[in-house]
Amino acid sequence: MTHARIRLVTDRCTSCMICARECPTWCIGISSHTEPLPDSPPGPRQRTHHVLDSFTLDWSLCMYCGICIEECPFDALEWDTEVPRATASAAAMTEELT
Amino acid sequence: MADEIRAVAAADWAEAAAALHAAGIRWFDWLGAVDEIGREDAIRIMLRAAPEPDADGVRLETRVPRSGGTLASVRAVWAGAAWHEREVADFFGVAFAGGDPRPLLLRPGTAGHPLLRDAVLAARAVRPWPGAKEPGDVVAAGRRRMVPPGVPDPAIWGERTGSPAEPEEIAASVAGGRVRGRR
Repeated sequence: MTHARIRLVTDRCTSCMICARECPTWCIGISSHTEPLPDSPPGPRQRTHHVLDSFTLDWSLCMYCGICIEECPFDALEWDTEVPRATASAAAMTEELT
Repeated sequence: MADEIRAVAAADWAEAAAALHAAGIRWFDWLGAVDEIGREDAIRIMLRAAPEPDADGVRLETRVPRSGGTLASVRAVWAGAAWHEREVADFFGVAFAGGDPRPLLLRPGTAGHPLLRDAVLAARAVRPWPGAKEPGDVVAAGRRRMVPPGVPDPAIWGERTGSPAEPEEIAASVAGGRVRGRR
């Protein structure tokens, strides 16, 4: 298995924050919001789910350990074969995964 | 694979290592340390050696005090152990008598020993933890705070008033998780 790049399968991500909490280098940032489930009846206790707004990964901090991939209970993170693109600054290494 | 674990007194450390070598257990695997804060005021030092690389070996264990611990070096038995001893000296502050005194990984003049569990990683304490947010939150909620592993819970280490935290509380807080309510 090549530890080259981490890919996000957005359909599987539930914004549960487990990868962001397990990451030893703190390179994953997630923001999400709550939306009511479309088929749930409206009311004071309407059922909701989390919707992912952005998933950022700072490749300048990531050490390609794969803990986030191992820990994800929904298999939303996978190894990719390409390497992250080169940038001119450390700040530009933060990439929004889609 | 089952290693035999032999606990020895700190004073017998170098002799026990030499006895292993004399008994034919000559392949040195590693030497490491664990901070036992919370369980006892000691640092556990372990050394593994085996007759040959894939065979079952012996793990020597000893304990030294957390502050100012000194242990005899086993460099004379296995020259390669000096490298591990330098690492343990850097990270845990254990002195090895007769060992190589040069720092291995820390810069000369660095204060503190980073792998002691009560060492505060300043870079971690000042940067907000991305995992502090709950799912569905845009910003970290103040009410249900979580702390990352290795960063002190302010209620235990930092802005605490009154009695200092018990070692057991400190040991529990280094694992991270939810901040407990003050009693």
